[in-house]
Amino acid sequence: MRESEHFVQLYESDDFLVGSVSGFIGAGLEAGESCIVIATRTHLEDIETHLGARNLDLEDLRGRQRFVSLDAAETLSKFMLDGSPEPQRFRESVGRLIAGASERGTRVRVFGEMVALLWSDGNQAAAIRLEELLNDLANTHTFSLFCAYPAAAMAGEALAAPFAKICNCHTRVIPAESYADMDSADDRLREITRLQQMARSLEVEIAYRKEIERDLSRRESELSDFMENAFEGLHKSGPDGAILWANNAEMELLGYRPDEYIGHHVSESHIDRDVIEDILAKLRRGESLFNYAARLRCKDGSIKHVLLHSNPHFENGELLYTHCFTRDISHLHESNLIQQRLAAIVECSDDAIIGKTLEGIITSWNNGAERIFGYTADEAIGRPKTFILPPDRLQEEVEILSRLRRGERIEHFESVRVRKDGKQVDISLTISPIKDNADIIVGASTIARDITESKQQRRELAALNARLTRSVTETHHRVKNNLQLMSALIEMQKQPHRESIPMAELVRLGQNIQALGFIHDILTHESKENGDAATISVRGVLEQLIPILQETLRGRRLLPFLEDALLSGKQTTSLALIANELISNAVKHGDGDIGLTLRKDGNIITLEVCDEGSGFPEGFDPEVAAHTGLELIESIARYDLQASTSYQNRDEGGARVGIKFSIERKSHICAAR
Amino acid sequence: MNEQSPDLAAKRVIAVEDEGVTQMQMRRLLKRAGLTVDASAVNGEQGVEAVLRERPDLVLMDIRKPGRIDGLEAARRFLAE
Repeated sequence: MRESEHFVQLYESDDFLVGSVSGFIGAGLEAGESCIVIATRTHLEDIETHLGARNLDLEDLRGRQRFVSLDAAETLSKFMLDGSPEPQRFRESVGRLIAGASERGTRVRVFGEMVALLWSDGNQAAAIRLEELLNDLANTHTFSLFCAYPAAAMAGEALAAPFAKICNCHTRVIPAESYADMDSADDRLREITRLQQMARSLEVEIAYRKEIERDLSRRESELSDFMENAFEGLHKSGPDGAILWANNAEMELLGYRPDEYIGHHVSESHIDRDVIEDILAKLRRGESLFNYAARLRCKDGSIKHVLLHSNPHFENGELLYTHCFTRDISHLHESNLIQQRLAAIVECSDDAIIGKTLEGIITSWNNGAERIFGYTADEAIGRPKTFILPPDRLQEEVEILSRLRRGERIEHFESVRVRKDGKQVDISLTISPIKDNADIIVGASTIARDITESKQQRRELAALNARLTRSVTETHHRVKNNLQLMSALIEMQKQPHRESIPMAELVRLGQNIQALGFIHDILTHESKENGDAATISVRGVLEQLIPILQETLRGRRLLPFLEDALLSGKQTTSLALIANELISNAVKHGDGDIGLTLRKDGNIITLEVCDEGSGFPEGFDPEVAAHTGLELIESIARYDLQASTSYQNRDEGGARVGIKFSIERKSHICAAR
Repeated sequence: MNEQSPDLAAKRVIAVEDEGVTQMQMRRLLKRAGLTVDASAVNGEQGVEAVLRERPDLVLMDIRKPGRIDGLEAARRFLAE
């Protein structure tokens, strides 16, 4: 038995293939052999045309089963199972066809293109497997099998191994026509050399490309890793706004799992509808966004303040997708809020709060500073702090700055500054060093409080205190004098050989004490008002005394005629005591109405008491009279008032006692109150 | 000096006192004790003048006085004469 032949032809053009196959099959038919052609429909038609041109009666040959033609794709479908030729089905279809022809005793020629179809479909493994099945068939039956592959389908580094296997499956490999058609051996050697050189070049090229490929793949994986694990959020969304991809940072920021975020519309996480609508409109118009502030709602409901950077990508005027970077600035937003609150506190403070460098240059100037010093922030910032110092206090700033550099804090330091209008302002300063994050002193803050008013209040308080002290001392002195006076008035009642005090004397004593009480009351009241006890209305005191005196008049009338004068406490007291004594004497020794007259003539005060009785006896001498009441009157008049006294009888009858004295220098004459 | 004292009897005294009632009370007490009150004054200056004029045996005077000079100064002045 002759051995089977299984060769493969690589071809570059269909015409070459058709010619080659037609030659192979035509020669077989002409030699009386059986021929089977399994080819694509196009190739079949062309081959049959060629065979017809050789004057072969194909219909006749078909009828005698000498010529069989089959569609390759259709034939394949008979034994392919799950992308691989199934051996049993293969044997029952193609196997049986070839075996049948072989068993009829003639030589058999077969052209098959099924392997080429599988190969071109990318199923190289199935092509190899089919070649192996055909080889198996060749082991039991004798036939000559022609396989053909388009040379172009063999190109590619990845196909090197399957191609080698294909070659190994065949007893003969025929190169494509560009080589096979060469006539001379020299041309073929040259072509082989050229092909060898080309093969080397391609190897080098392949190695180089593989290197690039690895590099690209590494870069791609790096880039992908970079984007996936970037600190900043990043997403890609489609033209409809649906999120196509988002990195870990973006989903972690908002607290979503990939399936909860990707595929959703980008606007779902935006809080402000107008903001996202503006963003999408801008992107659709082809604008890029830079540092666009937005608020996003997290899955847990919390709010993130973000800055967006986004740019659209267009192709042929159509929006394909947009990239968006999402930077979380929530912490900045919070610290901004804190800073704004602090700034508001500083701005609203009544105190001046001023920042300056360690060189004394003003860096901040709040409303309080504008109010206290009269300069606006624009006028003050950038100028040396010394511009509000009075010239005689410039050294003070030098000392303050040197203490600040040592890190000292200066508290409640009182000083003076000059306002814009030139007026000086009393201030209390608290100055603290400002440190940066590295604890280095970089400047100072000054808090200045306007204490002009409080200093004035302190001065007024001190003056009031001094006045009160004087007033208390004065009151104490008066109380002591009054007690002394009362003691003296009581002592006066002690007389030799007298066992008891007459009621009239006690009444007079009582009136004197009451007079002291009134005056004390008035003086104390005056002290409260003006702290000066030297201006008392003498008429006021006498008018208070009169009702008390009237109770002792025994039905007689008291006719007061009182001008007013302002006297010191001592003079008023003395005058009231004298008036009391004189009226008591008039009641006791005189008769008829009692006149009480007080006149003021310039600085001279005259007090007169007169009655309508018998008057003074002939040769009346107050010293000699040794009358208790008169002694008291004389003593008070002389020592307390430095007054002159007169005792006269009136022409119309009755006695008249006059007391005349000058108002003490420190008392003032004013209109009566 | 409640009752008459033999040591003080007939001594001449000057009282310097600005309060009339006190002055009166003092004069009464001094007279009751048998002293002769030669002159009275209301302040230091008058006191010095009276002492130098009357040359009394005794001077009764407060240390604290109204006026320009106090009791000590007044005493210093008339003792210096």
